[in-house]
Amino acid sequence: MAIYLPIADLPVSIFVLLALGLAVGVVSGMFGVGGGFLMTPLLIFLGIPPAVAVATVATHITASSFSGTLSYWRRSAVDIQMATALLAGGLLGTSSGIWLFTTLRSLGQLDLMIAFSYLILLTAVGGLLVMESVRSILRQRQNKPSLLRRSGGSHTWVHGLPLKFRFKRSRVYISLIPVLGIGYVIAVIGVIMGIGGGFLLVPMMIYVLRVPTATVIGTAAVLTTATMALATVMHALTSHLVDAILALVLMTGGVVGAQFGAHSAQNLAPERLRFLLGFIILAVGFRFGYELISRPEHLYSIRVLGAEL
Amino acid sequence: MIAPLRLIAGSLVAAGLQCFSAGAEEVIATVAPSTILIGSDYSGGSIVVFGAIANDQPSRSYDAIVTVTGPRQDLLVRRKERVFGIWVNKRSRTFSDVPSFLAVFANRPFDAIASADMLLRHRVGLKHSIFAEKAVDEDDPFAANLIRTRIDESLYIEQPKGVSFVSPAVFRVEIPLPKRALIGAYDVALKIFAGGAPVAQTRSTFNVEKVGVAQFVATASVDHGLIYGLATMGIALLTGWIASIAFRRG
Repeated sequence: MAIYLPIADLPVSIFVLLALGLAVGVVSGMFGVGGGFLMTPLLIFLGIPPAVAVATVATHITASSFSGTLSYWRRSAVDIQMATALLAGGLLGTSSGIWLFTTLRSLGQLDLMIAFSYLILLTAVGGLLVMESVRSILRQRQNKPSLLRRSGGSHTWVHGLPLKFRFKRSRVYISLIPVLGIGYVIAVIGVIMGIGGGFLLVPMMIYVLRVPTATVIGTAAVLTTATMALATVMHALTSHLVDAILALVLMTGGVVGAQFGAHSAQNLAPERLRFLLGFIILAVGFRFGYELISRPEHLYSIRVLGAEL
Repeated sequence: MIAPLRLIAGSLVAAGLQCFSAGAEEVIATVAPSTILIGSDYSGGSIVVFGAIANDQPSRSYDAIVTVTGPRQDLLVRRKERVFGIWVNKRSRTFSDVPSFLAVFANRPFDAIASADMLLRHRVGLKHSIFAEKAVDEDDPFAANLIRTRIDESLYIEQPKGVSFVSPAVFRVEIPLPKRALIGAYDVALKIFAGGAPVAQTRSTFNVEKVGVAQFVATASVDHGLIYGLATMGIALLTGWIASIAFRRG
């Protein structure tokens, strides 16, 4: 059964979209990420114009991350102070991101930049996650304590920065500078690549800010909800490319999948979860790399001028 | 659906015969439906064109060429080249006023209908109908790849045996419309050839429009961007909230 998408201007099977939402939802629920880094390329693969995919995925992520936010909120696993600080940086980053997006677009190599950013970010983050998780799994096998368990001596250069603030919920005493900075960077990357940035945010919070696992995913979900809700309105206002019908079908599958994902995540050790997430991210990254270096099937591509598509 | 169309065509032929009692051939056409509606269940459609030749001379045999042209758009065709081992878009060419959809249907192969020179002069055939600016050389690699890509996507169709004559002076053709049909006015041009030369031509038109939810969403997103954005965001938050309640356990 096909459904006509009024903004993307093409009919797509409703079951394919539901299945896509469900599958990406499982991943996002399992790892507490929005799943935009998977959803956006998959929608483009289905033939949906890239700009529509980017704008609509923002709406989809709003739904799935808000559902996650509420679940974590009930379990008091949200550090609202840190979420606010991250968001402050994020709002600034969103405006810089939009400026950078238009500049790159006018230079004519936006597609290449996006592919490059995907390649570098995905392989770097995926690789780090896989390496770190393998190390902690090995350490556990040898009955040694996990590296992430905070001990008094685990301070890094980040802890030497001024403007320190005590985040009570997460029980970290850290400078506001890296918190604002991370919020800013995530937002810039999110706008350009059309992703929520959760897959970057969660590792950054864990490894740079040393936020404990108890609050990291809930807090990341708050930031993702806020930035993606804002992105939805911005995209709708500036480019008119948010496809409400596509978003509705995707989020229906997505929220259901997210719940399954969240439940199955509870039965998995955190190291194994991080390994799995790293593996998926790395696979998507390699796919982008392969596309850059392999000879394309069609050397010529057509773009409609005047339209945003 | 076809039977009533036949009736329409029949009355049209009768009317045509009365109007033109003397002189050269004339062609009259009817396009059905006059509006293609794109609703939530749209997944491609088709139009039927009936044509009738008035003042036909029984000694002549006629050829009919029906060309449907969708709304025109400006296109940028880019070519990827290898730079330091990476494939990047390098050279590009812009083509203006290129049809978003183009279908050229005839009753027999074009080279049997008229000479190549004649076809070119009267802009008959897929290749000769695409570019508004006559300076474009159809064998240019950018133009050639544009055409090939659009043929692969079924946006450009050339069907030399698509038109069928139901009588020596009445013909019919059904033309499929693509899944990604652009909304707007579509031009239908009919050309009648006899003995390798054009003897009559006419034009007609039909519209492609969005209706229902599809139309509502498309219009709202453009005319009321802020409200549309806030509403979409609201739906997303509501969906997330419902999901978190529905799946709450204990």
